[in-house]
Amino acid sequence: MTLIDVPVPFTSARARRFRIARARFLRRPVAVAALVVVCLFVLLGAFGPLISPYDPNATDFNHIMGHSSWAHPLGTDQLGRDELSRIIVGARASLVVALAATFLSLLIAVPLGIYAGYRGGWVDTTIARMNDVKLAFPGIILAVGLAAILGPSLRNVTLALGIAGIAHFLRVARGETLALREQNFVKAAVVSGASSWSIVFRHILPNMTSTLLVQTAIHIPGVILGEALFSFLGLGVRPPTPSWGVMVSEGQTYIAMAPRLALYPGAAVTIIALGFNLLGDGLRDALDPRTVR
Amino acid sequence: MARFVVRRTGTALLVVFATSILVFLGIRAIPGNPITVLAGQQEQNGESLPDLKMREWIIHKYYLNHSLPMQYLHWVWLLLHGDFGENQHQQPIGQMIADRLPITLELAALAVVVAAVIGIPLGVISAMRRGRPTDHTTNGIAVVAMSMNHLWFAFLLITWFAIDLRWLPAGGYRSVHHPLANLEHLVLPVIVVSYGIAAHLIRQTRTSMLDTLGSEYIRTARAKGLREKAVIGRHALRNSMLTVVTVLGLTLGGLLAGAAIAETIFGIPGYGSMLITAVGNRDYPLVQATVLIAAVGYVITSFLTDVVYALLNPKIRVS
Repeated sequence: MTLIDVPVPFTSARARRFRIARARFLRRPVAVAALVVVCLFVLLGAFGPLISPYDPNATDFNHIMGHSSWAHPLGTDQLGRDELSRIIVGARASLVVALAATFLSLLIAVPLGIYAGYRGGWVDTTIARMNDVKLAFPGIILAVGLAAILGPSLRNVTLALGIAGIAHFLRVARGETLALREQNFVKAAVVSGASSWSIVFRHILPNMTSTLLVQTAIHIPGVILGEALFSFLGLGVRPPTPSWGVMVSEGQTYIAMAPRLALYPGAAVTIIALGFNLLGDGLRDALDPRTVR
Repeated sequence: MARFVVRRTGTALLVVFATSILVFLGIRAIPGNPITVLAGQQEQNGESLPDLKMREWIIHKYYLNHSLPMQYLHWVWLLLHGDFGENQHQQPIGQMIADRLPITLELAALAVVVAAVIGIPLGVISAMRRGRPTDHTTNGIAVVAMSMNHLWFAFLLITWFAIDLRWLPAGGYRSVHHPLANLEHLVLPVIVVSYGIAAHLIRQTRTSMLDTLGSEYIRTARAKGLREKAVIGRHALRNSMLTVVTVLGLTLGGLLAGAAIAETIFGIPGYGSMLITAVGNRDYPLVQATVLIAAVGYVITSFLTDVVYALLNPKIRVS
């Protein structure tokens, strides 16, 4: 029994691995910049309404579609609302949907994927086949169909994007479990009589966290783009609540007069998505020494 | 090979069957009276709009007085006979799809060709110049392209090329009977649909080229004195195209999404914009038909991708 009761050297090895990964990550300026962008985005989403210079919904009919000035750095929109404030406050819809939908996908996909990969047999076959069916369904079509059934609202967009994202993480979790199950330390734990629960929680789950982390970072841009798209199409956040997708949609009307009304919030979506993509690349390089670039 | 195709056909049919059940149940799961839902109209003040005659017609047509499995079988029967039902304005959906699908197929085909012509060579060059400035630049462009959203990029293109420079029309569509006008109106939409696919192709081609270039037979080819052109062209490129085919097949789902956005922004009366409008109007009969056909189309393309892959890769054919 004492064979597996050796968490102490294990933890220190893990701590050393973490230090190495952190050092590798910090050596890449692009990855660090991406991390800064992502942190800024999270801060904007959390404290946006507190730091925005104006009330995002306050109209000012003396400054309709005003150009950028000291008072309004990004100008004002068709109702005289401050564009910068609306972009700052609009970050929240993107952040909430991105986090909640991704969390929902992970919550369903990871236990199912581990179960399928660990148990094998007919459970695995069933889940894998079901996943094939879901993969055959383009995510965006699935999400649009779900949104049509559920009706337009922020919650339903989150649900639709969360469900559409399950297949991705299910495939990752199942594949990782299948690979880890064949590793010697898992076999040793099985031989020494550890229960399935303890094997899953002490050996399999901790060893797939880095892969899941990378996959999450790569997955989030798609969700953010999805939220913007849904809001643009009128299936998500409803005006006047500021959301980047809604702002692009409203700005479309004035594209010939003031293209910036559509271009600034669109640029915000792009910058955040780029941040997450580069963060994912940086994390992968830092956590997986096998990748050669 | 025959066994592989038979087995793969079986899976494809199974997926189509499961998808049709999902779509069927999805429409039945919509809150409200199924008669109203199938008429594509909304309830107002708890009262449904369709009049008595139409109610009876819908009950009759969709077997609503029969059990759910019977309703499903009857619906499939109608579909197999080419009857996709009518939308909320009582227009035959089959005709609408026949009118609009070719436009989207033209857009999609052009986009795939553009993406392949740009993406694959850039990926190969990037792999051959690995670690050099060319590689870093290409990779950077690819990551930026993958992070851009279709909406923003489309508006950027409209602002630059249609409003400021006035080189190209900002939207609209001309039929193929006027080929020049047709292409002129499709330049910007094709760029919007293809840039994301091109970015994926760059990254995928680069990775699989690097994999191939590191293998033994490439070293052998070089060792026996083959010119670099022959090594790359005849040995490395051919084998790395295997993965690229799969990726290209998998991006076709994203192709429809891109087409839907591009068609909506540029005002092209295609299949994608029809789906988006249908969802917006809650025109459920139309949503049902378009989603089902899109899914079936996706299943067919992924089936063809797998078959092409098997034809290219002897390892799969044998096992």
